[in-house]
Amino acid sequence: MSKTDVDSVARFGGDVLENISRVMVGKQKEIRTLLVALLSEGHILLEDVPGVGKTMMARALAISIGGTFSRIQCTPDLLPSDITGVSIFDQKRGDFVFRPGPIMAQIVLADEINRATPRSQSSLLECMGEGQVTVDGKTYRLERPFLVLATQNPVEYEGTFPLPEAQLDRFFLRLHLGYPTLEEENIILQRLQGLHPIESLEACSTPEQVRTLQEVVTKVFVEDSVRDYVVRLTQSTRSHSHVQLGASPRGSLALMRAAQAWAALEGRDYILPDDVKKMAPWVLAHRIVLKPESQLRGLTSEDVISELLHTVPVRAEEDGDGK
Amino acid sequence: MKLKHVVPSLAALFSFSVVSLVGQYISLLYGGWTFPVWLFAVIFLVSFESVYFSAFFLSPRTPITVRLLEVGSAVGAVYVIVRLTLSPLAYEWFELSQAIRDPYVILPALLTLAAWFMAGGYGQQFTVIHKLGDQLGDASASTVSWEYESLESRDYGVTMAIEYFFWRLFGYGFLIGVLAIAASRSGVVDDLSRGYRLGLGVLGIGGLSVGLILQGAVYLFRLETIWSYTGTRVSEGFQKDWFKNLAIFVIAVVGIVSIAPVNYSPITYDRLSQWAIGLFQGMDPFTVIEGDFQPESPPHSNEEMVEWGIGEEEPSFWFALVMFLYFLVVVGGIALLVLLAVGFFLVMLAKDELDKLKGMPQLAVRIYRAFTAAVCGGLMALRDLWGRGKNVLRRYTFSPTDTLSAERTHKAGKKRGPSGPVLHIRQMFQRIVRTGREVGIRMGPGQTPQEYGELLREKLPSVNTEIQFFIQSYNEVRYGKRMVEPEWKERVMEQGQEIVRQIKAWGKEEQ
Repeated sequence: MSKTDVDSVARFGGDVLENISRVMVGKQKEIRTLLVALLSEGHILLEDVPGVGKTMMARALAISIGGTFSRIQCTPDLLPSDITGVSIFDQKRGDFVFRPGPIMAQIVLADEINRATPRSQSSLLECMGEGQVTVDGKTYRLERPFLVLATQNPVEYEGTFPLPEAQLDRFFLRLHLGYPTLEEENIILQRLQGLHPIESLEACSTPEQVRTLQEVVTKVFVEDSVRDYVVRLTQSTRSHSHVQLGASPRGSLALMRAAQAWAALEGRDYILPDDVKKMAPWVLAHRIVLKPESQLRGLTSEDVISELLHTVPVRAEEDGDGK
Repeated sequence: MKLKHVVPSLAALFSFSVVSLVGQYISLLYGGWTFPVWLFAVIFLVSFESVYFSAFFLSPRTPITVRLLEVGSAVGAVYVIVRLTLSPLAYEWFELSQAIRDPYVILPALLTLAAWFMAGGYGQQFTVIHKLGDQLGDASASTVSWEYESLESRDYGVTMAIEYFFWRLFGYGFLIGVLAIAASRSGVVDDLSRGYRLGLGVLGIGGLSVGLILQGAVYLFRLETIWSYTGTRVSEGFQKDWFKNLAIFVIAVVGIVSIAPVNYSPITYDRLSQWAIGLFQGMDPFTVIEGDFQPESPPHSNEEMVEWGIGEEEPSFWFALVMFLYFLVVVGGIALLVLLAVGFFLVMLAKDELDKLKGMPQLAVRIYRAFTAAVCGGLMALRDLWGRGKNVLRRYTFSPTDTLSAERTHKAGKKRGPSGPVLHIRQMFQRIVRTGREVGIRMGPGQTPQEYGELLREKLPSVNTEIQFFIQSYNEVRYGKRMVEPEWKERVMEQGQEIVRQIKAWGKEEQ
């Protein structure tokens, strides 16, 4: 891999960030993290209250990369066929015709995923994991790049079906957008006084380019000690006193991929332990389950990851760590 | 390295070796003519000229007069040199009918002509290889196996160039073998000075090595030509690997040829060499084969002839057993050699398909791998021994501090750790951390070099730029495996030393 390849990733990141920033005020770090997931071919779980710009961010991303966008509003009566698509009988042709569901897009927003029944959740998660849909025995390949942004409301749990741990593990990273600051909200109001800027947003990239960059990211160099750090960090979640269920090997793989994508977006063709540390809270926090007593104490999985990032040795140089 | 320019040189060197050796042995066996020293230079020049001309300038449109002029000038030059060096001759400059009967003229001229033909033939084959590549490229050939099918199914009016090289290598090798043994058995070599004999040996072994290298290089050249025409992408290290393996193979062959006896076939070199002696010294070859040959000059005894099977006495059982075992070892050696050669070509050509091979090809690959592993192991052991020897030497010649540093470096090397400039930069980072720890700026276990750099920048704003530069450089070397240029390394080390100085100064101020 050449430096030019990495530079093209960084340039792409800059262009998309600038484009999305026309409709999203602030949230630069979150948008970059969104790009990390896109370049690593992962999916995102957005945990946030309504009205903070989740749909806008997904739409802006879809437009920026010139991809297709669709939205699934998850409700308890949502059926798997409402997601994947259904074969209907065409009377004129006298044959069944497949009508694709909303999953057949490149950027899919699954709003309030925890309101869908486990059956519908499973069908969505299967599509995410395998990148294909099977309807009536026929398999349809989902077009790459394929990114699902699933949202769930972290405050309302009544009438919801919380995602089980195994399903959560399928999400590449979990993101919180949070409320905007006072200044940011002021700017939002100013900007949205007239026509919504999303209407004039144009693509700054193509799905083909994204596919190429996804391959570039996998070639970002990972030095042995950094890989070792990723593994030790993930393993330490399994032995932590407050953790009931630690992160899986899928978690360590996701952490390494995310660090690679982050490094490439920074214009580097190798990853640093700092990249791993930056990505760890996004990638690992939703993959661990705390013990009930720790939860009662008000401890969060982010706190545990933060503690581990301070204690797990980076081992830059054996001598340097004071050993 | 462009093979296109190298293979003609190899062909020229091989032609030169073969023709010079043949000339030498004719001179030794014939006795009526001495190989002049200047003829080496003529054969050398003619070989190079002919092969390069044929490879790069000869085309179907080249007029025959150009070729005649070329060969005429070479032979004419020989005639002029002979006349000037052996002047006065018994005949005039233009009495060519006399000249062609004079061995001092005709033999150098024939050898020059032979070198010209031989080298020119090789040169023409290189153009044939290009032609093949061009035709295959036009036919959009994409694989080597497809290439053979294509050649077989379509008549291009050209022979397979590799066969040409192989049969000539084999034929010239056989010719030189016969002549060398004839010279040895007739005893003429014994009368030669040690330097002369050494020269013959060097020329022979050199010729064999160059011939084998030429064979391997031509094969690679042919493949590269075809690949270039078909647009096939080959890994960059392929050529290097090829020549590395070829070198091992050539060393093995030269070693075996140097120690191999000659009487392991019904048609022995001895018999053929006796026939050659007879040919050159005017004896009846058939009489020689019957064993009645007694050369007049130079004299040698029949006891020197190591001809078993024609002895007067019946060999004893033990003698027969030893000979049988000896025969087995020799046959085994040759079989091994052939398998090594086959293994070499298979490994080079079917890298990813080796697991699918069965039977003899699989055995050849295994033998080849075992052989290369053994050679590499031996070389590694020698290198290790050399390294140990150097360390021991250093221990006795260096100061205690140097020895300590060398040991530390050696220890790091054992762990396959960094070496040279990379190690220096990493050691400088360790020094910064140690110095920082001494004055109270500790690096936490979970801290990355970048984070430690930020801590240092907070404490030492005066060297902000230096810290930033050093940490970035360290990261590139440590995690990015950046190549370290000497000037850049010097700059990094200077910045590192400055940081250490500032940390110490900060420590004193704090006290």
